[in-house]
Amino acid sequence: MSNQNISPIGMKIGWRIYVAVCVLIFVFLLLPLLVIIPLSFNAVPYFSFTPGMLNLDPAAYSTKWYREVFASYEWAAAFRNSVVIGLASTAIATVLGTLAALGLERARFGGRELISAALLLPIFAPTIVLATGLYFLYAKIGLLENRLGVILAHAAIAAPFVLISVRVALAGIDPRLSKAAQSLGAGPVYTFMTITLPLAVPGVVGGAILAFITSFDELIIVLFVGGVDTVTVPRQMWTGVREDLSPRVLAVATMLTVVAILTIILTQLLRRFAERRTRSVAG
Amino acid sequence: MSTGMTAEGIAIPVQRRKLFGRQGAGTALLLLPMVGFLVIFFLTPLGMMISRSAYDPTSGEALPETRMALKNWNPEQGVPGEPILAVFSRELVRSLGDRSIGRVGSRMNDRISGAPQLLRRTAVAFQKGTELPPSKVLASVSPDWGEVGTWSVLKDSLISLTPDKYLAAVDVVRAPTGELTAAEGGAFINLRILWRTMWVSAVICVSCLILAYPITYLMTQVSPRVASVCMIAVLIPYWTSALVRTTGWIVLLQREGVLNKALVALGIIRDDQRLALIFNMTGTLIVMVHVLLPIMVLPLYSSMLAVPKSYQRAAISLGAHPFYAFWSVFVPLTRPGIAAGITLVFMLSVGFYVTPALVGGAQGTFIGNVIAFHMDTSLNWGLAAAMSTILFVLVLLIYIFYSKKIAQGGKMFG
Repeated sequence: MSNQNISPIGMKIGWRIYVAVCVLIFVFLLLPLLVIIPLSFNAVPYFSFTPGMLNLDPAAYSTKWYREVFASYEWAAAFRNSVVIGLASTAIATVLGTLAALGLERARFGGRELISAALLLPIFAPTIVLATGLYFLYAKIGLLENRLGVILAHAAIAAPFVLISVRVALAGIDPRLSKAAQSLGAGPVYTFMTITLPLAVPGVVGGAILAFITSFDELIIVLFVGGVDTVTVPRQMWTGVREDLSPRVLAVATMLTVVAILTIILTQLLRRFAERRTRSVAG
Repeated sequence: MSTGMTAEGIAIPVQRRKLFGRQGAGTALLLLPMVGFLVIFFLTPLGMMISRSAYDPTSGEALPETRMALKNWNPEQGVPGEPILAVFSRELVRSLGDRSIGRVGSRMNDRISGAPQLLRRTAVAFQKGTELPPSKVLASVSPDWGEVGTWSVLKDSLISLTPDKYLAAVDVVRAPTGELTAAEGGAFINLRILWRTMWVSAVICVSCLILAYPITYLMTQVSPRVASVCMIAVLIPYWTSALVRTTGWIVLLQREGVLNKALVALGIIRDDQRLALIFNMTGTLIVMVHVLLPIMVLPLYSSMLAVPKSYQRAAISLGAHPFYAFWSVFVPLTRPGIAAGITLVFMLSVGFYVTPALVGGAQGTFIGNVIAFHMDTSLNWGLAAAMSTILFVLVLLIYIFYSKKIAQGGKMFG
């Protein structure tokens, strides 16, 4: 039965308009990122396209901002701090989150979802609130302006992400796999080590990546409880954007965007890898 | 070995073994690290903040005997007598010496402006040493000491628990007489910013929903490969920090920015008509919608995937206009995703600090910015703590409401 209400041409035009609107929204999503990439190669320290750039004149482009960033002492220190703090807090967060996810998976009592919700609270609590509280705490115990203080704070907000990621991975494991293993005589611990844990690894890795990004991009806690030793990339960008807005900031922003894109591709590959493993194991 | 029963009723030996062995101890051990860690580095800071907002023992410690003496005094008795004044004058001089006088001054300042200076002048007057009785010295410093209200405020200021920071957070002040009045002649600065934060966050939510819904629906209608590409396009801004994206928007929207330059070059606007799209509320709105849009997409997508495509086709086959089928069949079935998205975006939006600080200008600030101001500029930590607590309680209530709803409905993130 054909639809009397709308003509095929009307449908086509309607669909085209809809897709056009969607494309505009996608442009909105990507515009600020797309804009900074070419501007970071601007030969002059302006934040807009010079006539030379629009004419694609090679002389209007330059990599000097990137060279300045790499030669700069402050940016080198900032990258070093970000990586050190990121790796350390990721390590802590991954351990905490994975253990907690395993614990929640085992738990059979009614309070499980309550504990789960409570453990996820750091994600939703406004960081400014946590930063103020941390300032008071650290002032008392002497962790202000201290790298360790920032690491521990970042671990606290990153751990819930690991928890979610590992829980999702564990939930995706077919329970028949471990039952099959046990029916073949494997003990509980052996089953866990050879079946459950390997299948959960993509979740752990995915969570660790998320944790690292959370720490790397975090600004507010670093602003409030950090000091000279803890100037991270976002902290350096904050000064750069507010005070001396030079295209060096754009160069750093471009690099961060490229890293984010690579990370997404990496995680998509990871996900496909994990799916293939589960499928091959389940047969 | 225990005995079990087959379906036919034959008894057989059965060995039961739980999948992970005994439950309780192991589970607790696994949960303990993260729980303990968060108790120390999440709950404790919050607790200290809440305590900071209402509890201040330092002023009482500056003038302990005066506090004790004033315990039995109340305003109906009139201005305190010479014995109390003597204790007060002695302790005040000592607090001037060890600098703790500032604590009392700042507490009193919540209700009587100029109190720190008054206390200091009074302390200096007593420090000089005199034959006159304390009441005469006080009278020579200021007529305020002859007011019962001043002493009432002093008494309250020496008490450890105080509601004054919370009152200040909502622009209310306790007059010396004890009644509540509007602070600063009814300017209601803080309340206005709080209201603005919530109102703009609501607008951001709705805008995100309006923009996210079409593209998410598109992702369910196209081939998996195209959907993947679309998803990557959504995830790229999500995985870039808000700071990077905000920088991009500054470059785009500022007066000498790419957008304005393009519009002028194309002749759409004149050079002096450049659009003020940033460093004001518009800027905050645009950038925050951009930052939070991917967060709206994710729950919407997972709830859309759960709706069978056959439903809309069935509606159309029964004669419905395709758009009507979409609106009355598909959309209501995505309500869990819509609710989750709106709640998430709102919770995150009210707590924002970075974006309003960078692109908000003067009118685009959120409550987070006011809190930061009181922490690092005005150094009124008690007020910052009170406002933080209010913000936290607000988000916590929404979170509890959200968790309860999602617990009924299924997964939180999809």
